[in-house]
Amino acid sequence: MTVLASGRGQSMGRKTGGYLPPSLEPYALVLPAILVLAFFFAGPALYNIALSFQNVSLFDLGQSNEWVGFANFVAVLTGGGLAAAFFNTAVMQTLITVVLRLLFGLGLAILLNADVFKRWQLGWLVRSLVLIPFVTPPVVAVAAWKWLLDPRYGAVNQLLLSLGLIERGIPFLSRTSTVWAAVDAMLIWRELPFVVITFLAALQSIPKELKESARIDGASEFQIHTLIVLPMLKPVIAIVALLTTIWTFNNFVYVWLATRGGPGDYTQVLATKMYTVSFVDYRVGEGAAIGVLMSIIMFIFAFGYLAVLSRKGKEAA
Amino acid sequence: MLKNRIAMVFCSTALSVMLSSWASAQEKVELTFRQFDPPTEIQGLVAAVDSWNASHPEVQVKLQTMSGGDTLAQLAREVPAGAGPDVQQLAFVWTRDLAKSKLLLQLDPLIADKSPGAGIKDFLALELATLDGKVFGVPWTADTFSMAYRPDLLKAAGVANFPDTWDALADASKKLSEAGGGSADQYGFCFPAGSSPDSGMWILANYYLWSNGSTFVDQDSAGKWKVSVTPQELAKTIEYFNKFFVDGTAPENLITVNAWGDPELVGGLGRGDCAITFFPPQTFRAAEKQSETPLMTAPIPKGSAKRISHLGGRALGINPNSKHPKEAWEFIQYLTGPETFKTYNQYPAQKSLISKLAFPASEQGYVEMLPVAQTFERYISSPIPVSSMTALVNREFGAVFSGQRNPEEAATAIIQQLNELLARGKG
Repeated sequence: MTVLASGRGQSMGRKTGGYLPPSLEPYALVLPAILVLAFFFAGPALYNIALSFQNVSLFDLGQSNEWVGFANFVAVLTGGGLAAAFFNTAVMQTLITVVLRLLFGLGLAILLNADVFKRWQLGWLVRSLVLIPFVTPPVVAVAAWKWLLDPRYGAVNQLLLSLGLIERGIPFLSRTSTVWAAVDAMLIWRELPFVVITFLAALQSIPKELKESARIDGASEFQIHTLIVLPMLKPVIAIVALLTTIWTFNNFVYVWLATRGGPGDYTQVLATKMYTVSFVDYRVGEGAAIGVLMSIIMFIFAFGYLAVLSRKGKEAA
Repeated sequence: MLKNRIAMVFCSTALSVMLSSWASAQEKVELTFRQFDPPTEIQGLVAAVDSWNASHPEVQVKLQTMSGGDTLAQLAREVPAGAGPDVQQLAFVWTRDLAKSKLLLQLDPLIADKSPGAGIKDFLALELATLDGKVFGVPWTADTFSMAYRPDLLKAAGVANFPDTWDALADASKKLSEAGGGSADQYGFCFPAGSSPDSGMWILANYYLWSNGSTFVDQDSAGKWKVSVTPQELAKTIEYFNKFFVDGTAPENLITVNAWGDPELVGGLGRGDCAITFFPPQTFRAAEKQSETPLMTAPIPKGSAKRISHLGGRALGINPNSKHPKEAWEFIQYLTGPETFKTYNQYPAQKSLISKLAFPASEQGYVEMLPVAQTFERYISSPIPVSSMTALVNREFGAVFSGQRNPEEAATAIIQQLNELLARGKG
């Protein structure tokens, strides 16, 4: 009774003492959050779009610049190197590493979800160990990997030499045959824990009773994982795949720190090209145009991906 | 009565004005000085700044260090936003670009008020800090490159004198690699062959071209900018450096080494992995510290036309947003003065100071190269940003070193893109 009375009183107070009509209150409550988002996210994005239509050099930022329509987009699309950079970004950097991360991530998560770790109370330890790469700053991770891959003193080459597999250290980052494998290895090592931890959390949310009843019905472990676990993980896999694809597609640090886009421009990706055009060639307008194109590609990918998922979900329902 | 009141109000106002001006006079000025050389090379500068702070309690300077690759872009973003350091260390090649966009304070009134050192004309490479006859930076340190080598390894390989020409360098490099048993233990010539926009390959490529009488771009008699190097000259240059990798006289992993201060080069010389490389003075000194055996310097090899290197260095500029330009100018005068160079192990950019320097025997290579060194003025004045030219050349050389293109294809690509950049610059 007290609660009801109190609630009624508050409600009446709102009606009589509020500054806004009740219908506008929800909007007023979310307005601060919208303003913050607009300031920190929409503002820079709109500024970048505006720059992409201007002839602006690095030294002319903050000044009024000439509006040039789509000239920057034309220059970027007709200039050399964009197709190769797009292929490197989409396939060599994103597709390969996302697929491998999903496979390794799922495998490791299933392994870490094994009862043996719980029985020996080692769950916290393995989860902490898995997180180590993720808490290592990318710049440190790449520096460490560069040392590991050093042809003369690196541990990887020393191991291969000691096993008699090679006669001389391989300069992994200098050769076109090995450089992408080396960069992808760095990226996967550093970013895999996110996938593992997310899948592990999803696995732990699957009711044990489902697996137990399947076992009672005579299902093998393989059948349990393919027919029960995987279908239940589908929504999580879909979201992880989407997020890792977007993050990796836009990633700049791994290629830049490991190879600077080299040797030659063999590992040039869209993000490093955008940086080079903006801050080396000083053509900020064209750099912004590359950024806009990257955003458009990712918007199309995300909407397409989510549309397909939603259609499949409806079909399944 | 009224007169007394007016007098009291007047006196109290005068007193408060005097007190506030006295207080503001006592207020400490804080300047920010940003530099971008690696922390391993600035101990002497830190000591000089500490010394300034100890003797100038009213003007305290905070030293900031930023990586060289990010400094220019950071400055270009900060200054239009009304921020940035009071005093900025600048690469010689940046000053004019920044001045054109009004990102540096014009220094002529300050120079007229109090001229630095033995006068502004005493500074080397002043033309690079000047735009339309106005000075926007003060050249601070000057340097060039010379060859650096291990005399013991040359002697062991039967190389009696340091190679005087580019061809002799290639021959000596072969001998030195063979003397190391042809294994990965010893290479004849090591150099930064990376494809990065700031790779040292650009410098070496220019030394070879200039010494053989060519240059990437030049002005014709009518003052029109054009690509000056021929495809054949450029292909020969690329071929020359690529041969070190083809012959195995330079280690393949240098294809990813961009900085001359990279441990592969600095440590490699000390360890004897590399017998010959090329360094600016401060990097040579760092290598000397790491080497158990003595190191020496020698002049850059001669080409068919001449022996040449570039005159590089650092300048100092004042941020137009600085609230304390006079104090910043005082500090710049201190930095360019002899006191700073007592602890800061760099060559000063003042002719009067450099003439008094006593070079150690191991640095004789620099003594021979400094008089023939030329600035990048020829490129800075062109319509193409030097950074674009550098990035293009490094990228194409790297493409050849890694087997993606042959020298002729790379030469054609460089010339084509230089022509495009010239056309764009004019437009």
